Amino acid sequence: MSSWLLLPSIGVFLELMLLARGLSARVFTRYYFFYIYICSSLVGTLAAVAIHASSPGSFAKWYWPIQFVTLIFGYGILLEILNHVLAPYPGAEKFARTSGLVAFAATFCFALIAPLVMPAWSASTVLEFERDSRFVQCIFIFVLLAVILYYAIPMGRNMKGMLVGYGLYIATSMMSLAIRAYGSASLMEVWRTIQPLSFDVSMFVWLVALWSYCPNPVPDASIRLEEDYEALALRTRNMMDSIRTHLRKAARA
Amino acid sequence: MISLIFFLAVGLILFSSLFFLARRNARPEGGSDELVGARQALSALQAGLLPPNLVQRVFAVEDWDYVCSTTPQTIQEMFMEERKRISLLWIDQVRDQIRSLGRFHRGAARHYAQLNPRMEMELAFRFATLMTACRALHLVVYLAGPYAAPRMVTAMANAAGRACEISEQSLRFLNAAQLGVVSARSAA
Repeated sequence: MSSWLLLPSIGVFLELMLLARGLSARVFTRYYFFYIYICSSLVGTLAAVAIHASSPGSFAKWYWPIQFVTLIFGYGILLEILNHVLAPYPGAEKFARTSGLVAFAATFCFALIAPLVMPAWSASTVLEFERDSRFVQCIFIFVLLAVILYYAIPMGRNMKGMLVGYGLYIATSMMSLAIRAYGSASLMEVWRTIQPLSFDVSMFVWLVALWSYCPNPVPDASIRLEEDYEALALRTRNMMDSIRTHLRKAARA
Repeated sequence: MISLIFFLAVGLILFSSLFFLARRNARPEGGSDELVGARQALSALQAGLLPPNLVQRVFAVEDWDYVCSTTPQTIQEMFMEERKRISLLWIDQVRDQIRSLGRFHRGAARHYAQLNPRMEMELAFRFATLMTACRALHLVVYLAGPYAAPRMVTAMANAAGRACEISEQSLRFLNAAQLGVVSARSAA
């Protein structure tokens, strides 16, 4: 087996294992969006390998459509995290969903408009476009992470693994694409290794994290807060103002 | 080159954030934990840390004057070390309790569907600046000793006292009966 096929083959093997385990442990039915992404990725990888093997000349033509489809399905993972992790926290969910929708709409519009604006795409244009799309996803993940960490929202093993695995893949993809877009042909080999390797690592993280179903911790909903949000936020802001003013005065004294 | 550095930096920051997330302990908390924590923080501030006589005692210059006038150099040094340590502990305790009150706000706010993201970002910024100010006071005392900024200490105590008053209003809806139920559940 040639070296460029080794890493994608490991990825395909791990994908198949993930799907098989998802079906046998009945995790599949819990995370539809995630497994749809895995299926789309599997089909995309197999199609890319088949095209590359049969007619390498037309590979460049098909590369971006395949990437675009998996990129769109990738948002399913983030949607899954929104649904499972943030659903019990309407406030935090609203924050993340609004930011996520903006990021998704930006990616989608950019992907639709870009071919019209630039009808003759070069290889470097495709590369930069993919890198920028990954960057938008990075921003979405940042927002999600910020909301989860700021509000100290607990995550179960499944959800944590899903987010960490996808984040690793997106960050590595973006970095390797940036290196490739900047660098010479010598960096091509680095990209050819890092890109599929990061996907294999993500697959491994997912396989371990989703080996069995682990529900996300649910907050104690027995205490109902009687105040409304505006009052709560206003009081906290007043508290901050008061303390800051006093400290500023003291510092000047 | 600048774009390459930018994308690499973004990627590395994401890596570190994911690492932090992976290492974080996902404690199965709920609204009750925050409520109990906030109530305890409030009690600790009001009854244990902020009474004026306690603050005056910790930062009393008269004690230092007395020690200086009646004891040898070694005792003076020992006294200063001890008083500085107590002062720093006091500042840290006050800061921790204020942080706990902030945690209560976040714990409560996340449940509200009508949460205002802009307001939340503003509050997060204010909270960060307040924590920085507390650290600055800690630094001043650490470097210059407990008697370097007496007015700053008084102001901080007063400010924390006001924060307690406002937080008490926020927590007023949690009456004694509810608190008892929540505390019992948390203990279990």
